[in-house]
Amino acid sequence: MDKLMKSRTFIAAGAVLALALAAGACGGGESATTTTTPPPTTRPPTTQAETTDTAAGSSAPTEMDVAMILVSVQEEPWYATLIDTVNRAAELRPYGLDITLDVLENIAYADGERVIRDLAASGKYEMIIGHSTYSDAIDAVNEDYPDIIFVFSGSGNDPVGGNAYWIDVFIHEPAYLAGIVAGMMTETNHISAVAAFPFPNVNGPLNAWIAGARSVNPDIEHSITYIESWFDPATAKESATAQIAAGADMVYAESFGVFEAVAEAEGVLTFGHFADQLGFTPQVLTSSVAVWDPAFQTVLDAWWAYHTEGQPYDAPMERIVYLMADGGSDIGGISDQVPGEVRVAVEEAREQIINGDLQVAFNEGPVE
Amino acid sequence: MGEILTHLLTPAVIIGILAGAVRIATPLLLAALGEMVSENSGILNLSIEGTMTLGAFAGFMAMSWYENLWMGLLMAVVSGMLFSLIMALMTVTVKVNQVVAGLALNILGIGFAFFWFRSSFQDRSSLDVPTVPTFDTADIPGLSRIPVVGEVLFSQHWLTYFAFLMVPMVWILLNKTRYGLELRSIGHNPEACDMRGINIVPRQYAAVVFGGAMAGLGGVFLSLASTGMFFPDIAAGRGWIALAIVIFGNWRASWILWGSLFFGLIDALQLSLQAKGLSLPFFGDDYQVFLALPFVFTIVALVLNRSRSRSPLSLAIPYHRGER
Repeated sequence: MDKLMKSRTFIAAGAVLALALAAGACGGGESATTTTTPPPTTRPPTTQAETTDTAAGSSAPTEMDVAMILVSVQEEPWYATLIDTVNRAAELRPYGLDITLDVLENIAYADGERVIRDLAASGKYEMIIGHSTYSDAIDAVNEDYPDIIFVFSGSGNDPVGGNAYWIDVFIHEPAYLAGIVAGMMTETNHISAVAAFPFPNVNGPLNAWIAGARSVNPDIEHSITYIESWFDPATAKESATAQIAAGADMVYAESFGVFEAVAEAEGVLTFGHFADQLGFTPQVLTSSVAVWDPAFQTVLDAWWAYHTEGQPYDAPMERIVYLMADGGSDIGGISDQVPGEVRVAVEEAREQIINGDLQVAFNEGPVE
Repeated sequence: MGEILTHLLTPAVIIGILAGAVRIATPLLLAALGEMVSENSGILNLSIEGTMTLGAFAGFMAMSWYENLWMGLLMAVVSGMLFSLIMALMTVTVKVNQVVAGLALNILGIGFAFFWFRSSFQDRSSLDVPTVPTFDTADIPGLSRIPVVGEVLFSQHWLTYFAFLMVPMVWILLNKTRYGLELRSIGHNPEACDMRGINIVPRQYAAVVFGGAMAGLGGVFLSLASTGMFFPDIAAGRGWIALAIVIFGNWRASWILWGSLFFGLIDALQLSLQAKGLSLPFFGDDYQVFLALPFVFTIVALVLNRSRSRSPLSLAIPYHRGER
């Protein structure tokens, strides 16, 4: 009996250990994440300019390996748009560089420092991007790896300086333009948005969207539902369904799940957020699109200058933000359902924003 | 306050809230009913969240392979059963600590689903989010035409009808059959059952695997009925709410139905008030209070039921034959 019990305890202990190991391997940490490398792209022939660039120094780098860590999954537009930017750079080959990208998903903030330190220590990466609120994690690591350039993004961060750059894109200006479409096309004068949290980067575009609608239609009433989750499409869908029942006929989709609700309703139209989501469902009229390319180019330039000209990293102690005029954001594709006069109004406002005649406020506060 | 009442007394709004409550309740009801059966046999299965995630994934994956929704449903059930078989093996045969095993399996389930998902869907761009078609709602002929009731109860998804149908089925199984009586007895006093010659192991296995199948169905409701998407956090805490509902419902099928509907109603109500842009009395725009309410009510129910608790006496206690 005793022996049996012992062996049973042993099996139990072994099983728990095995389970814990399996869980550890599949659950959190970097081993849990999938590493994706962009597919090999066809390389355009090297141009004259690129040849000169590469010849800037005898030891000029020829490749840049980028690691990017995400809090969530790469499909979410906030992450997907920056991944797209790096993949575009890999095709365009600035300075003739071979750019590769490894993406690590589902890295909790608390794990950020460990993962970033491991990535830096691996010696494999020239640029490490903590694509969210990772400034604390980067602050703890960046000085130990002075040759690597670190990047973090979005609101909620603190400046780090040195070799750690804080980048962001504000899409409130295209959201304002999308608001003009909503304001001109609404029939019920009730516009609404489903959003994750009352978070600065979330509120900025929503406030501007409503301001845009109000600029062309002062009778607009609006409602915002925060689902209190970065990703819960089932709840987002219920939220949008409730807004439609309350009379909204223009629903801004800050969260995944809204399109499904709109597709099931009649006479309701919707707007994409952060990525160009035209065609995700036929009811999408247009989108407020983030373009990370100028921000990425800025950090790439800093890295290049450091390695070729010995120019020290000197990250500003504030966010590097690119607006629509700087190419940091734009209105996405516009659906055929949008009438000509609305398109004209949007195009006029767009030009006014770009040449500075129209200032769209970036209001980070909760939508009133 | 007046504005809120005016809003809530609008017929279309009432129907919207009630129908929303039924939809929100469906995955909770499925998972909680299954968990209740498992717990009645004495096995506390804390891996519901992981099992739901796996069910949502298996359904999504099968749908993208076979382009057949029923195949997706089947795969969700099978994956839930297989996954909970691990739980049964760990707790019934190996007799490890049920809380530890359940928590570990959650991490395993979510991690495994994400691992497989990412191996199948790599290098996506922002324009290329993986989605699949979903079940349409199934109006029940005749009944769906009844004013209010028809829209609330009979214009729902097949899975919702199934979930509601399972309430009396589970009640009959547990309370009106010899098998159910034996199962509940095992949950209370496995030693006495063992002495009576009731074979404990297969009954506990069956109960846990049934719970897994139901959690798998709860998960697939999210990925193939509600939205055609899968991501690792798709369950978004519903597995934990289902566990709370079992306690709230005091381990009784009928109360689990009311508990699920009540939790669904609270959520649908707050979404409707936010959708109209109305401020709450006392709390203003702090709708987050509604997210805490289900758990507040669960604790209240736990306190109120303390003398009448129907919690199985041997819940989460491994049974070793011949030991006291």
